[in-house]
Amino acid sequence: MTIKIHKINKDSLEHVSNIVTGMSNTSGMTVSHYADSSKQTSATIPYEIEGVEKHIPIMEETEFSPVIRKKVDFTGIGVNSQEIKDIGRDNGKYKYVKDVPKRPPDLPPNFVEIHRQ
Amino acid sequence: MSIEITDYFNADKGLTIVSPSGTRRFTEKIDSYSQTYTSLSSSQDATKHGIDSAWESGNVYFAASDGYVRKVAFDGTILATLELTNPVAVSVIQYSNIMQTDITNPPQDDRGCWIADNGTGKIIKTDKDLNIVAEYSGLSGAFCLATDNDDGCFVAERRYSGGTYLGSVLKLDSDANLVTTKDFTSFSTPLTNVDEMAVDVNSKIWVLGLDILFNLAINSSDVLVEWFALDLLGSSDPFSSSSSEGDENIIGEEEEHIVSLDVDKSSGDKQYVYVAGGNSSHSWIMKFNASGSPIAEKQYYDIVFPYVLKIVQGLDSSSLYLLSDSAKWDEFGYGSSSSSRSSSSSSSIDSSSSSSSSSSSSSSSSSSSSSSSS
Repeated sequence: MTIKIHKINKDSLEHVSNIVTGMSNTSGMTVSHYADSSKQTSATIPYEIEGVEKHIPIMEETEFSPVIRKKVDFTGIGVNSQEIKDIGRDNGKYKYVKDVPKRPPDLPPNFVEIHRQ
Repeated sequence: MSIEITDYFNADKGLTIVSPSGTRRFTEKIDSYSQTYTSLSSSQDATKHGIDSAWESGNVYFAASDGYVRKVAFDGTILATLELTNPVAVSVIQYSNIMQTDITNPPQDDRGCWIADNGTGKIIKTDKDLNIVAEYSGLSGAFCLATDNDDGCFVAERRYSGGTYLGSVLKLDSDANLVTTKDFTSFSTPLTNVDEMAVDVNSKIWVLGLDILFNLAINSSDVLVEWFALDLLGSSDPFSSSSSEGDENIIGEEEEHIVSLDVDKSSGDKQYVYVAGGNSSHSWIMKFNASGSPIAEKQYYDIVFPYVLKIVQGLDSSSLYLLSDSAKWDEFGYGSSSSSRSSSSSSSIDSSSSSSSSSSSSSSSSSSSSSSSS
C-alpha cells in the first residue's frame, strides 16, 4: 500500500502537492513548525582579509574557507569585482598562464577583499 | 578588535513520520529533501498518538520501540531520553499556548511533555529534559493525550470489561492531580472509543469519536461539560447540501469514517478546527470555527483515508498536512464489510479535478445534537 503525505492549503483547502513516503508502515506524523533552525551568520567585517600560503583568507587566525568557493589565486593582484579576462594578467603567486584565474564573484555581502603587495 | 555577528533562524517547517522501521523527515516542501533515521523507530503496536513536536524548536518527542521516550532534534540528534515500559502517547507542553505571529529569536523550546505509559499505568509529566516532575497512577489503558492551556492534560483511556469497552476522558491539572472525569457513556452519543483530541485557544477540548466531533470544556465547578456535538456522517453528512441528484450512485458506496483532527492555535482570527475523513478510495476535509459552524469543505479523489491531520501553526503557516494510507482503512477496523455507518457522497463534485470543492458557509453539515449537560 502507498503511504503519502499530502500538503493542503489550509485557507482554500486546495491540494498543493504530495509525496510517497517510501515507508511500508507508519504509526504517526508530526509537524515541526520551526524545524531546521540552523543558525545563519550575517557579519560585517571591516578588516583586511589576507591570504597566507593558502587559497583561503585567514582572519584573526580563523580560516574562512566558505568565503572562497571556487578555485582562485588569492595572492593575485586585484579585487574580485574586477574579472580577469586576459591570460597573463594575473601576477600572483600561482601565475596562471594557461587559463584565466577564477576569482570569486560571489563574496558574501560586506566582504571586501583587499590585497597587499 | 571584534566581529559583530547576528544569529538568526530559518523559519522553516518540516514533518516527521515515525514507523517501526525508522523515522523519516521531510521539509515543508515535501518534494525536495528527506532524511531517514533507522535507529529511531516506534514500537510495532504504536498508535498515531505516540509522536508530537515543539512548535518553535522543532524538537520531536516520540514513544520508541524499546520502551523509551526520546526527544530528538530535527536533525536526528537525541536530546533526552526517559526509560519507561510501554509508552503509547505523548503530548508536548508548548512554549506558548498560542503560536505568536512573530518568531521568537532564538526559537523557544517546549516546556516538557505528557506521556502515557501503559506499562506502569502512569500519566507522566516531564520537563523539557525528560525529567519526571509529576505523575498520575492507575490508568493502564490510556491511549490519547492533549495538553491543556493550563499545562494540565486531557487523557482518553479505554478498558475492556464484561465483554464491552468502557472508557473515559480525564482532566489532570498541571501537577497531575485528577480534576474531573467523564465516562464515554455520558457523552450525548455514548462513545466506545476516541480517535483524536485537541485543545483550542479557548481551552475547549474537541473530541473525535464514532465519527462525531464533540466540543467540551471544564466549567467553574470543574466538570467536563459537553457544549455541542457535530454528527458529520449522520443525518446531515458533509455534502448533503449538494447531493440531491444522483442519489442512486450512493448505493453500494463504501462507508466513510473520520479519524483525524487538529486545531489551529495561531494568533489571529483563523483559529479553525479541521477534520479529515474518507474511505479507501477518497477523502475530504471540513473546517469549522470555534462555535462549530462550518467554514469550508473539500473532497479529494486522489487522497485515500487520511488518518493523520496536522496543522502548521504560526506566521506564514498556510499549510496543513495529511498522512494517508488505504491500508489503515482495514487496520482501523473498518474495511468494506464492517459498516457501522454509511454515508452519502456528493454527486456534484467535479470529478475532473483531483480535488473538488463544495465550499463554505452554506454547508448544512452539522450539529445533530447540542447539549450542555454536566
